[in-house]
Amino acid sequence: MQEIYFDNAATTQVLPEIADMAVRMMCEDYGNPSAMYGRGLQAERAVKEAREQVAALIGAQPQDIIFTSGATEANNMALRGGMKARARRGKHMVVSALEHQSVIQTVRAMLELGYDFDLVPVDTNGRLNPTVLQNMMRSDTIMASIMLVNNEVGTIQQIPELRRAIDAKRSQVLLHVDASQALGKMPIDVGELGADLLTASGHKLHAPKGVGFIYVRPGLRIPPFINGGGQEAGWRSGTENTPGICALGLAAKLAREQMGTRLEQVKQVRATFLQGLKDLPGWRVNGEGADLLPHILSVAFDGVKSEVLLHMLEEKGLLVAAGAACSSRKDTLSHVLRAMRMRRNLIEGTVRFSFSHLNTVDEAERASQLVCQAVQDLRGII
Amino acid sequence: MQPLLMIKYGELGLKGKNKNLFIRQLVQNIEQALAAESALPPRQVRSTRGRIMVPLLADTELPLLRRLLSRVFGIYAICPVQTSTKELPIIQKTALRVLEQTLPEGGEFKVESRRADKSFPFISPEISREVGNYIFDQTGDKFTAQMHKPEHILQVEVRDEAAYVYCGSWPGAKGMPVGTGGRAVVMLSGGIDSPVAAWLAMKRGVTVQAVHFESFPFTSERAQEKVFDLARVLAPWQNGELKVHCVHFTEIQKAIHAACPEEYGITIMRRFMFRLAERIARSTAGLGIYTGESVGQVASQTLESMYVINEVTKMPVLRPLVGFDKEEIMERAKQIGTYDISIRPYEDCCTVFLPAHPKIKPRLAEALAMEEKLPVKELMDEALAASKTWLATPEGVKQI
Repeated sequence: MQEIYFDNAATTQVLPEIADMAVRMMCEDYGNPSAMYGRGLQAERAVKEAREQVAALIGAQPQDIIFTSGATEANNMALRGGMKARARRGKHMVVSALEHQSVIQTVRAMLELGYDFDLVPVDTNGRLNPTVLQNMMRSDTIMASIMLVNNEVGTIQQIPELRRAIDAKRSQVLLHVDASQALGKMPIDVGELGADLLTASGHKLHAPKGVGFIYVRPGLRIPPFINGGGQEAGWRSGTENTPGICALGLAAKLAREQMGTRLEQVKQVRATFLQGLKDLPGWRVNGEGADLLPHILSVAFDGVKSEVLLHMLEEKGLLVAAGAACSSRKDTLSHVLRAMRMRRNLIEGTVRFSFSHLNTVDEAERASQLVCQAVQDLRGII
Repeated sequence: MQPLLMIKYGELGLKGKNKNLFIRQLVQNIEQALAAESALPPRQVRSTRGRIMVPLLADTELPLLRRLLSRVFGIYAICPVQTSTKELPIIQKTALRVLEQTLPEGGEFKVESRRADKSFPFISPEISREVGNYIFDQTGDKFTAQMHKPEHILQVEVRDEAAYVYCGSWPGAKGMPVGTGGRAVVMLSGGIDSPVAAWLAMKRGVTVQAVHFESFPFTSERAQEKVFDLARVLAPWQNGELKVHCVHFTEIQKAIHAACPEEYGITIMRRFMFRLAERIARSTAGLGIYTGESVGQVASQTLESMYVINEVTKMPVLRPLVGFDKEEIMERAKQIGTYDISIRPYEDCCTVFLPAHPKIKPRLAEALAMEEKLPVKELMDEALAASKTWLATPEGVKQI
């Protein structure tokens, strides 16, 4: 049984050349970039190159990239640091209701520090409306946090348009964009987005877990997030994770070079998979009315419990994610799907398939057959 | 002389002719508990009249030994003792040293003595008096006697082989040595109650094997992982080993779901579980089935339900939690260390099979009629054939 991995929005397989890079940085170029001898310099150069590659992927300058332990840390840093930097102008944030927990739980925790936030509702397709966003802003709003691509549904937000709406309402509001799912999968230009802060992680892009970055717009000073030896220009101290950073650098380089062919591959996989579901009744693609990143496909099946379906597919070698745990407790329902005002039974029947360029058309065909079979079997039981 | 840990066993001492059997098992369990810890050098555990002696090779071993011994059922108390020869002056000196160690700043105390060796020339009250007087002579007013409510009791025991002095002890796990109470199975769901039931079974000396029912793909592998983690916590209480039988219950669930009215789903399901538990018990020389049930907790735990469910087996079904409130069970689970594992969100039964309104007063005749539509024996044979047995030890879990 050849396993089919359709859970690339959760994490991705590390590419062999990227793993080799990480191993090289651990076993050969293992110097501390701060060390004064040649081996340290060698490591410093490798980190510098990685920074350039990451910057190039998002249209930024290398000095504007700060490496972190991942997107969660980067999001914490963006929100806490951004709010501190603007604290004199207000204390209110507007946050899209679709944000990842690393954003939502952070702003929740920040209530204790005297900050305030509102969740901006989305329409049934998961889109933020510029007017609604404007209406949620207050005279003390100093920051907005909006993800570029949602991790559960794949909705792409029209960030430039939302940026203009924000600016029209109030000046100097910081915009944080969580680009974790988008990085390397669609063209990103921080200038065009109008992002003051942009965050992402490596492991969604075939680099290892434990590395990510934050982009900070030139001229914007945010206070240090982790104090110590002054690494990362003093913003994020701690000996650089050179294996992770260089792996991320290489991942960024490969993603930029291969973006077109990879995207084509993913589109084919998605189309083939959807074609294979054609004859199965009782399902729909969540958020279909909006722009969706082809890598993520959220499907609500009628009369199915997603966690059970997930385990049935797992038995057949197909790995996917579920919209809800098979539990009587309400808090296991996805907050994203709830924000899209989906009915409970549809949320409970939602499965996410997420693709990478490593998936093949053949896998998509087999997977669709497995899904059709499993859904029918399950409907027979329940 | 060599410091020791003196083990007192409570209830065991009251046994009649079988007493030695119990004590031998306790000694063996203690040896096993110590041997399981590779950091400890081997040592000779000795059983003397009424006491078990564990040599202490270094003071630094104390915390580890205490932790290991506190999980051996059958131990009433663990006393760190100093040994003395059976000469009064030496006993007096040893007693003073022990008291100085316990109360370096001085304080109130009382001496209590036991003379197990009746050839010793002083009787118990005389020993206490002589030791007390010596201490006052040597230390002036540093220590004072407190005869009525003493906080510290300096104990002197004169036994056949030597005299022992100690001040203070640690409580043991009490109960009976595992291995003296026969064998049984315990139904281990992954919830809060059943691990406590398993622990209470062990506490009375019963050697248990766990039976877990898994319904993959309707439940997650993490539900089974939870049971393994619980088994690893429970294993040290049972000489470091707990077998877990994972019965593949999915097909039975499906068959019940297809053939029986929803409200009777749980009743019929539980009847199958007890039948399967009995089969496993029989195949492992077990003589009883332990469960974590407590009357009135959920639909399947009303007396009416228990009556209908229990009907499938003639084996004793033992419910050590029957009189406990939920709060008391949770408290116990926290003490044992299973609580945090039990509250992980992975459930052992999918909501698909949980009726919205289960029957709280099912009737036996109805249950029997429903089961006539099911190939009970075939379903059970299939479930057992697809079952797997695992061995949990504190180090990990492996399939056997």
